[in-house]
Amino acid sequence: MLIKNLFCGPDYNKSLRRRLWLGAALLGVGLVGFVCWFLVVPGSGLDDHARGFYLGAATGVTLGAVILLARTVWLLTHPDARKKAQIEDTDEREVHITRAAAQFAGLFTFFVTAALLFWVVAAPLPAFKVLFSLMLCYGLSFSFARAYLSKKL
Amino acid sequence: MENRIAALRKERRVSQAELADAVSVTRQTIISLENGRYNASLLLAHRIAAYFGLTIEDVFLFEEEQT
Repeated sequence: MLIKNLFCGPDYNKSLRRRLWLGAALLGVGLVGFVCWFLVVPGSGLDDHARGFYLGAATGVTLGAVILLARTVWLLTHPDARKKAQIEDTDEREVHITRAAAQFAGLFTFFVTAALLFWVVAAPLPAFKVLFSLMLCYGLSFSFARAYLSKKL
Repeated sequence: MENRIAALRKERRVSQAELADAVSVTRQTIISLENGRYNASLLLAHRIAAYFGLTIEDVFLFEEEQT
């Protein structure tokens, strides 16, 4: 969904070619994860949780990249499927729904995080710092995005 | 904002799928437009009006005109 929104412009063929590059980049990230898991992690002394993260993340990213690449190649080589996908990907109501849902999810997460700060303040300091950093990240990215869009639009 | 899409479509015997295909949106978007649950962008309004060979004002009824 996020990829559809970020990589969907007026020229759909160009958007698909950009998705190919994104898929290749994600595949690279996944493979680097596997290389780390095979070569670096065994002698690192990391606990099981951290080892599991490397394997799980590498598998997830690689699978996602393969699916993205396969779908994009299919769309580039099948005009009928491409036309149908283009309508679904660029349909303004769908785009509106996705953006509204993302806006709601962002605000909901922000307020839940703010509420959690009151609870986590009694927990170890790193947990409080992570949550506070998340809220700061949201606030800063919102401010920068708003300033940029105000100038651009 | 109300519109005459359903009436125009029935008058010209055009299905929702045909109209959706012609203006490059999904059939669900046409349904939502006809039910008044979604307001078309200026670009889509222009495409729909052009499809019927009418002006945007002929297809879409803005609130000021309804009063």
